[in-house]
This record gives sequence, structure tokens and C-alpha cells, in this order.
Amino acid sequence: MNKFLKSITAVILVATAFTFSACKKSFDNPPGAADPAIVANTSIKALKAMHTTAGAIDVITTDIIISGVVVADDKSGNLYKQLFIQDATGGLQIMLDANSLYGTYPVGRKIFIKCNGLAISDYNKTMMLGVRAIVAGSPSLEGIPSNLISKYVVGGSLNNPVVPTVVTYADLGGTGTTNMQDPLIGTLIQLNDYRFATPTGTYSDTSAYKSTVNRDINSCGSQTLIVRTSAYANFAGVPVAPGRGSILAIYTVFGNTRQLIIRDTSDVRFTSPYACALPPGTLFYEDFEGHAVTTAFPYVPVGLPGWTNLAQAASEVWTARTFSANKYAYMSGFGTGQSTVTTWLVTPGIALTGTTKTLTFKTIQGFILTTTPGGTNVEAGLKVLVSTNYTGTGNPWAAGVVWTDLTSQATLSPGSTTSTFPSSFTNSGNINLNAYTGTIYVAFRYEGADPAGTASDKTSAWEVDEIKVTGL
Amino acid sequence: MSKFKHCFLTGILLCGLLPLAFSQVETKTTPVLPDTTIIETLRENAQDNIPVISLDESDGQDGSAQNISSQLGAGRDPFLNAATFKFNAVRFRIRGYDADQFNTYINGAPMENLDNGFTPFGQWGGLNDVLRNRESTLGLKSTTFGYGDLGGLTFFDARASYQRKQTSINYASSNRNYNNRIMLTHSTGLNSKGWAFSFSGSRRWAEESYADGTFYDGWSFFVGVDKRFNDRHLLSFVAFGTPTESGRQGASVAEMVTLANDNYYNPYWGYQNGKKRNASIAKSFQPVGILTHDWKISDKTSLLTSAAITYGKRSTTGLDWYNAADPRPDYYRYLPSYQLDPTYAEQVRQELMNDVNKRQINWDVLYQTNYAANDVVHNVNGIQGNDVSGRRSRYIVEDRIINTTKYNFNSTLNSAVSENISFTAGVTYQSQNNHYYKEVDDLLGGDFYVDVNQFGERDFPTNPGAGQNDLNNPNRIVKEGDKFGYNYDLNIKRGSVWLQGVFKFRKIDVFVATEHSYTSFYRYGNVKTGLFPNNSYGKSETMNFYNSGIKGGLTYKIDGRNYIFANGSYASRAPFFENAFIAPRTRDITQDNLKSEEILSTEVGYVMNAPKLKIRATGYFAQFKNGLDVLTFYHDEYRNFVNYAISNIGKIHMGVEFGVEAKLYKGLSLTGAAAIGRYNYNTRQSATVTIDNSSAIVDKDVTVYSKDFYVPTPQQAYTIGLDYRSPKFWFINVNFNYFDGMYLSYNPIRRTASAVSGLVEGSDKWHQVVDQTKLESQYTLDAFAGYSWLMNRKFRSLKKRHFLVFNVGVNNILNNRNIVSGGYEQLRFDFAEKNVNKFPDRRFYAYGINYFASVGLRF
Repeated sequence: MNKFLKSITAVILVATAFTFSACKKSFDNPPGAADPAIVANTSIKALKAMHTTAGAIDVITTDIIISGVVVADDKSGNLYKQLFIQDATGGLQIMLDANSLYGTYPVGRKIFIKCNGLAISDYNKTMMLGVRAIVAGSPSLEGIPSNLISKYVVGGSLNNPVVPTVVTYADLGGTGTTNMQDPLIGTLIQLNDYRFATPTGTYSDTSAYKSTVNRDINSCGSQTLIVRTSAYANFAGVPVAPGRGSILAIYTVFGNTRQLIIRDTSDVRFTSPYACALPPGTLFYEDFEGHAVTTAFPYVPVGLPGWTNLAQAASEVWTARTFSANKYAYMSGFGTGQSTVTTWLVTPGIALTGTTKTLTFKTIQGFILTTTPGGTNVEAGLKVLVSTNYTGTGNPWAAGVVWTDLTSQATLSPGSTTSTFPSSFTNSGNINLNAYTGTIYVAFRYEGADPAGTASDKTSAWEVDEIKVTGL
Repeated sequence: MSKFKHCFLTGILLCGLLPLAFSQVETKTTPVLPDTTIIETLRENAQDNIPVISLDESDGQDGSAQNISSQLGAGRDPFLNAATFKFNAVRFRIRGYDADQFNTYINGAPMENLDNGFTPFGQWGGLNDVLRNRESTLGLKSTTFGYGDLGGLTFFDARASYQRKQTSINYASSNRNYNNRIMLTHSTGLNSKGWAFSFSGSRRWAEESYADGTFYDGWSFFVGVDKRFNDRHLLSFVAFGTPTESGRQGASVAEMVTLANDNYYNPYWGYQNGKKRNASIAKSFQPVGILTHDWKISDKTSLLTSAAITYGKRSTTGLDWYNAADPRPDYYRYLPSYQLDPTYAEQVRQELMNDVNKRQINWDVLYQTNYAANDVVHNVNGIQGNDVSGRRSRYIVEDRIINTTKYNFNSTLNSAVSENISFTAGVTYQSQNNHYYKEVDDLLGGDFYVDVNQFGERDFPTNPGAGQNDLNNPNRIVKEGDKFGYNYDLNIKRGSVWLQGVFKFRKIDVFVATEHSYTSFYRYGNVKTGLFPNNSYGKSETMNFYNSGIKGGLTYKIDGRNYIFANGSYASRAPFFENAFIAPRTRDITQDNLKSEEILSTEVGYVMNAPKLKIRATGYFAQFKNGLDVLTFYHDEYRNFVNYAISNIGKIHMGVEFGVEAKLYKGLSLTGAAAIGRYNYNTRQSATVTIDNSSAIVDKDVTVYSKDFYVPTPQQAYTIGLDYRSPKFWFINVNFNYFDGMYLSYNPIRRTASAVSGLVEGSDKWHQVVDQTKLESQYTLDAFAGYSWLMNRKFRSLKKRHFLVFNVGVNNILNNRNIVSGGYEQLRFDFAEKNVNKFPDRRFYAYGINYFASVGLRF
């Protein structure tokens, strides 16, 4: 009997060890993404056509199924709780009340939306799909509640190609009235040869206010559009691309304002130099628009490549300034306390070609009176000089450097006696450079004075802009 | 037959004498006489029937990998028995004390953790057979083996020569934490050459435990060797370990519990390919070795010296995610109450009710997200241009690991100077190192994870270092098994001496004791955290504390059956590491005002030991001053871990304990016990709020209006039972238990001036915000029965005596599935709307009807 019990023990022991030692659970990995057995029966365009009254919330009550490829997700944070999808007919904003959607619906994923029960509306003409909810007593279009998303939205295959439609400003309707049914709205577009109007600063607000920021872009000064960026985008604090080139963005409208939404900074392909291609025969052009500026002291000295900006007397140099979205070079001897203020701003070498060679620029002279109106005249001088033997480096006033004074050919700003600055620039008119060949340098020399007392002050401010040399 | 009857009666006799054991000085356990076998067997099986309580989330990481059988061993005191066996359905705590107020020794070695004072009961779970020799004291009584904390002290004697010479095979079935248990024990007893050996092993397992998605798989082993050299020296060695793995249950919010229509709703699991997978798996294996030398220096003096070592890991897995939607199914934004429009609230409700995958973790979505997560990580390991591309997991299962090495040395001298005077002196040195870190457990279909902190990245987009978990290894790619995230060590050392004198006279016994200790600890950071580059790497300042305590007591013996006693104690106690560092995961900054807690306690009692009536009544009072605590939780608005460093915690615990055991008729007896207490905070606490990923202090020294709030354990617990012991070797007892005065643990920030600002004091809403939630009173009915069969009567060929022992215990017979056994308010508050239901409390439910049945063979 004892043996019997012992053998029972042994059997129980062995059985336990073998039967249950594999208790640790193992799990198969689930299969990857593939398109579901769902067929879209309606195009995005057709769905959007059902929404005809701006501001209305149209609940969809039929078994409409659309599909599209995600063209913009919330990865960078520029979009929040929304996606843009598009099919061959158009694009649509999808409102989902959930974060980090890009985990499930990354760009390139095809998704299917069973629209019955959802609602389509527009936010000032940009259409969006969501649910109609009564919040605080009034109906609004809201994101699909996160736990209901899977009822309506079914994910399909990954990594579908996402190709932007290349469009022009005219394709977007220029400055005209927008059309809610425009098939480009909500799609990924590409515009070529664009640049930021001001290629400095960041994409969005980096302050605690976290305001959304509109930045103007234009195509060589015209055809302005807006790039709208959330302060919650992870690139909000990134400086805007300084160059010029193509931009990819989701095209949206807000009323008649055309707003582009980039997905991240890789959509901004401004890799060419900022300056636009110049008209034929233009040998040199500078409008200072690409220059860094500040709007208050201390100002940024003009420091463009190849330029010379040196004080011959006193220490004040030309600075880059901005006013009314225009940048220019600025010089004033006011407050220097020096009896002579002489400062040179010299262009890089300009290789002359052609037979009719012309220099133009424009100027503003400010503060010609000690007080305006009625003060003492304190006009400082501005000289326009040309040299053929300056080397581009070193003191322009050094011995042996020959400068020819062309000031007499130019019309300069007379200043204003009724306000501190004239309201507009004065065009210099054509200054004939036919006498010159080879490489020339153009200099703007400020000649002022600010000695003790006010008796012999020459402290007015000179602003120079749009310096251009042509040879035809 | 007659011999058998004789031993049974002997057992009864012994049993009757047992209550004497709570006289002031308890005697050491002597080897168990074989004659007591049956009664002991019945008693021991009662211990098996104690439901295993899983420590909950709010106990934090440290205790979470453990299961505890009971705070104390079964005592022989009618009150202590009830507290151990009957009050545990609702997380009853003796006198309302925290677990750190109880000490446990095994073979003379102190077992508690130095980081939080808890006893890691899980380290010897499943070894019931070899841990039956135990002494438990309650309260401030003197003992001969340790100075003791407020709550009491348990001393296990697991030495091989003290184990009953027998072989035991036991199988048990249950529907609690585990479904099956098999246990085997063999002890040789001391042989003629002075050797004794003892072996025990068990396995407890459940494919699925009581709550959905939970499982249990625990192995246990024990080896003991004794060598007696002569009458004076006994050298013992024991080693034991319990590699355990279990799927955990988490508390959830009432809204989800209702939707799931299951009070045992467990948010931790979800289906993966049709199988239930639990995201929170606790694993633990921390074997213990203890060497003990027992030296009888003279007839009157003995010295017990122990050295113990414990090492190993315990860990808990959980989900981690990087720039991805919260995967927890009961996240508040996924619930109907988050919807403002009732139409959608209803739709979400339907969806959650009808789709189990929405109520549970959707593993499939986590995998799909990772499959789609193609990404390029730049400048990996800080090397410019070192780019790695692949599927960067957005979701992973992480393993939060604590690797502990603990050793201690303890020596206790007991000397009876004269018939009336005895002294005990002890010296203890304890050292503990905890290494805290995380490992990637499962990439869930992705190729890698990156060791960065998305919150640091998000909050400081222009500071590329801010998001790094380790500036020394920026943008590190981590794969399964790699360490990531926080990584730091804690080192604690504690040395103490204590001295006790016991003076016994004819009518009066007196004892005095004092303890002096020195504690020092520091944090050592193994990574340089991007947000705290100057406060995270390397060794922190060392915190040193000198503490002392004094206690004493007096027993007046009215006659041989009636005693009155009074004990008192005053002590200071060093803060625990856990409560000293405000955010040890990321930095080495401590609470401002680190000082020792001061604890004053007294108790007065009456004991009656008549043959047919045993009564014990005790009144106690304890005051705690200058307590510290650190609470940590995830705040989804800050999207980060927020730490509340609480100081100036004062508490008063007072109450009475009452136990009675009355023999009514032959084998029938009545037992009753009551614990009626009042455990209150008596100070306004001070909270300093910090966020793990920001060096800014969110709130400094905010006053928490915590005065008069309750410590969340039942303030009142009662049991009454009938016990019948048949002379035919079976017994049954039935108990009715009643609990009242249970409260939720409260969120300190709801009791601050800013939380109620704008509310009319005394208005309903004000009360909603401020008042502590009282839970409903509860009752349970339990029964326990056993039968012991001496097989030799049937199988006369058996030479040794063989017993077949059957036991069955059924708790909560009325199947009350609505017993809230505890819970806690979320540590968040909707300051804007003052809506207490936005972040509702989370509650635990006691098991419905549950059983434990075992059959054992002993020979």
C-alpha cells in the first residue's frame, strides 16, 4: 500500500510537470492591413454635391460608401482630430474625435467610409464629414466619437501613392469668389515657383498664446496665397524656408480666402535662391526683400554677399529696415554726435553687357526738418558713384580708387516738410552707364553731420531700394 | 481506535491551552508532537482557506507583483483568528494600520522590505506546509525575537528539524486566484547523526482566475537542512523561492463596470487572435536563503543568529505608447459620458455594450498601428547622420522591473537572569539595493522603439535634448529585452540595536524595551534624463536618520484566569525611500522637509481564559505625526505623470477589539469578534505638486483640508460564528460577518481651496467635491468544514499512520457580488466644472461565492 501511494505521488508529480509546464501563453501576431471586402458606391465629388447650402448640416441617410486615400494626417500636429482623403474626383476633410490618427490612418492608407448616419457640412466653404451633434443646444458638425469610428471608417491597404495635383494660381480661381464644389478643395495640390513674402520668422506662433498663423506666399511678388499653420504643429517654431520653389499643401478655403495647409516642412520645397528670375537684360537687381530685418533697435546692418557697407567717418552704417511689408537700406547720421558722417554702401561687381546700359533705384529722404512741420532744414547728402577699379573689398575711399559722381543724373527724394517721411519712394530715373564697360561698382554715399548743437546738422535719413542695372 | 481517540483528546486539551499563548511573553515553538497531528491538520487547513488578496494598483509597483495570504499568521487569539480568517473580504487592516506596521521574521531573519516596510508575503506563497510553525503577536506586546512595530510581529520557524516528520501530498481546487494547487512536502525529522532535511514544492495555477483575463501560474520550492552538532549548537539552512506569473486585474470606473455588466470587469485584457491576452502580467522570482545558528550558551542563555540573502526580480508589464491614441479601453474619452450629445452617448453606450473588443484592449488595432508605423529615426545614438528606418512601434508592452538584492544579519540574545528577570538584546544590520528600470517586452509587430520621452519632445520642441531619456545615449533604438526609460538604483542600509527587560512577579509582569537605529539611503541614477540633466545621473545626496523608540508594558494578573494589561510605545521612524523622493524615476529631488515620523501608541486590555469562555478585549490609541507620502498618477491633460508629495500627515487610530470563544455544548462553541475603530487624519496636510517631465513646481505647499478624513479600511468589522467539532473527526463552522465604516481613499487636491473656489460652502456641489465617499456596509456568510480519516483502520497493512484529510471552505455563500472591498478616487479633478464624475473613483469588488477544497494525504 505504501508503494502504491508512492507511485501515485510520482504519477501526479510527473503529470503536473508535463501537463502544465507549457502554461505560458503564446500569441500569434495578427495579420497586416489589406483592403476590406467593401466597394465604394459613391465618389467624393458626388457626395459633396449633396451638400448645396453653405452652413447647412446634411445628414446622410442612404447607404453611401466612399473611399479615398489619406493625403494628410495629424502626425505633425498641424491637423488635429481630422484627416483629408481624396479619390480621383476630389478631396474631403474627415472629422474624427480622436488623437494620433496617423497611427491608424497614416498618409497613403486607403480608407472606406460608410456614410449612412454621418453628416456633411462646410466650414465657410471647406466641406467636411462628421456627425451632427447637438452641443449646448445648437446643432453642429462634430468629429465622429472615437468609439464609433470603427462603425463608419474601415481601414484598407497601406502605402498607396499620394501624388499632388500640380496647379496654378489661376486654377485656384485667382482672387475671385470661391466655389464650395471646387474639386480641388480638400485635395493635395502642388504650386511651383512660390516663396514666402517674408522669408524670415517661424511657421507659426511660438508664444504661450498658441495662435494659428497665416503666412503669405507669392510667386515673385504676386499671386499671393496663405499658408496657415497651427501653433500646435511640431514645426511651429521652425523658421520658414528661405528659398523659392514648389510647395505641396492641402488646398482649403475660408470664404474667399484661399488657405494652404502643409503637412510638415518637407512639403515646402523652396530650394532655389529666393530672388526671382530677372527680366531679360537685367544685370543686377536688389530689393532687400531677402534680408533679415528687425522692427526696432538694434537694427541689422546691410550684409548681403559681395556688398560693402563701411563708415568712412563716424561709425554708423547702412541698416536693413522694413516698412509696410517692404524692405530697404537705411542710413541716418542722427544721434551720432559726429561732425562728419560718411558711410558707403557699395554693390557687388556688376558685369556690364549690351549697348544701352542704365542704372535705376529709388529713394526716400526722411526727417529733413528738425521738427515737422516748421523746423530747421537738416538735409544730409546722398551721392551715387560708379567705379571701375574698385575691387569689391577694402575701403572704397582708399587712395587710387576712382569714383565718378553720377548724382546729378538722378532724381532723389526731396523729403517732406509736412510729415517726417514722404509717402512714397522717388524713382531715380534712368542714369546712363553707356560710358562704362567691364565690371562696375555702384556706391551710395551718405554725407551727413551731427556735431554738438544743431547749427550745422545734416541728419536726414536716406532710404534706398530696388537698385537695378540693365544692359540691352 | 483507542489510541487515535487518545491523541484527539490530547489535541483538544492542547487547543484549550493555546489561548494562554497571548500572555505577555510568548514561548518559543517547540517541535510539534506527533500526537497533535489531527487537530493541527484541521487548523492548518483553515489557513489554506484564507482567500488570497491581490494587492491593488494603488499600492503601486512595489507590492503589485505580490499576492499576500494574510497580514498575519493564524493566531490562537479569538480576535486575531477572526481578523485573519473572516475579515479579509474587505481589505480589513488590523487597527487600520498600514502594512509597514507589521514585522515578519523567518528563522530569525527580518523579511520586510526596507524601501516601504512591507513584508513580501509572496516570496513564500504556496509553502504552507513548511511555514506552519509560527508565533504571532498583536499590538505592543514584548517578544523574544524582535522589537516589533505597532501592529504586531510574526515569527516563522521553518527549520528542518522543527518540521514534522512526514510526507504530505495535497491537491486543492478553488475558484479564486488559482484553480488548482498541488503541494508535496517531505520532512525527515532529526536523525541520529543530527541531520534533518525538509523539502516542499507546490504549483498553483489557473488558466483563468476569478476575474476575466486573469491567470495564475506559481511554483514554489523549499529546501531545509539542519545539523545539530551537540546539545548547544544547531545550524540551519533554508532556501526557498516562488517563481510566479499572473495576469492582473485592474479596478475600473463605475460607468464601464455597468456597461460590462460585471463588477469584476478587468480593463487589462483583450482578445488577440481569439485568445485573451492580459497586458498587465506580474512576474516575480526572488529566492531567499537563510543561514541560522541557534546556540544554547547555557541553560539560561541562548543566542539566535541569522544571515539572509534575497535577490531577484519582480516586474509588471503594461502598455506604453508613443504619440498614439490611449489604448486603455476605459479611458474617459472613450466612454458615453464624454459625449455631449445624448444621441452619441447612447450610440457609444450601445457600441460598448455590444462589442467586447471595445470594452477590452484591442490588440489588433495596436498591431495594425505598428505595422503602419514606418518612420526614420535620425542621429541614432547621437551619431550625426546615423539614420535608422523601419516600423517604429507606437505601442509596446513594457516590463517595469525591480531587481532587488537584500541581505541582512540579525542576532538575538535571550537570557533569563533569574526566575523573575529575563533580558533580550538584539542587533540587526540590513542592506537593500533595488534597481528600477524598464525593458521592452513586446514590440507588438514593430521593428523597434526609441528611448525618448514624447512629452519632453512636445514641451520643448526647440531643445533636442529635452525628450531624451538618456542624454548619454540619445535617440537609442531599443528592441525586445533592451532597457529603456527610467533606470536608477536605490540603496538603503539600516543598523539597529534593541534591548528588553521582562520582570515577572506573582501578580504583576512588567517589561521595558528600547530600540535605536540608523538608516541611510540614496538614489543612484544610471541615465541622464534630458529634462533633468543635473539631477538625474549619478549618486544623490545620502539621507541619514537616527531613530529611537521606547516601549513598556504591565500585566496585572487578577487571578489565574483574568488578566489586565497596559502597554505603551513612543518611537520615531525614518521616512521610507518611496515617500522621500518626489519623482525618483526622473530625478533625485526629495521632499523639502524630510524628517522622521513620530508615533505614539498605547493599548489597554482585559483577557479571560476560563475553560468554557475565553474573552479578550483591548482598547488602543495611536497617534502618527509628520508622516510623508508620495502619490503619482498619469494626468492626461498634462499628458504626464504628476506627483503629489504629501507632508505633515497626522493620523489617530483608536478603537476597541473584542474576541470571545464560548463552549456551548459538547463540541459546539460560539465565536465572536468585533473591531470597532476610528482611524482619522488629524492634520491639514501639505501637498507639493510636480510633473515628471517639468522642473517647474506646479503647486507648492498647498494646504489639503484633510482633517477628520478616514483612513480607508473598514472602521468596523464584526463576526459571529458557530463551530462544531465532532468526535468523529470532522468539524464545521459557519460565520456571519458584517463590515461598516468603509471609505474610499481620497484625492488630496479635491480638498484644497482652489478645488472649491467658486462653490458655495455647504452647497450640494461643495459637499460632492469635499466629502469623502462612504461605502455601503456589507455582510458575508462563510462556512468551512473538514474531515480527517485515519486510513490505517481500513488498510491494516499500513505500518505508518496515514491520514486522508478533506477540507472545503465556501466564502460569501450568499453570493453577494456587489461588495465593494475598497477603491480610490482618481487623483485628478475637473477644476473648471467641478464635476466629480468626470474622473470618477475606481472600485474593487470582493469575490462572489467562492470556494477552496482540498484533499491531502499525510503519512
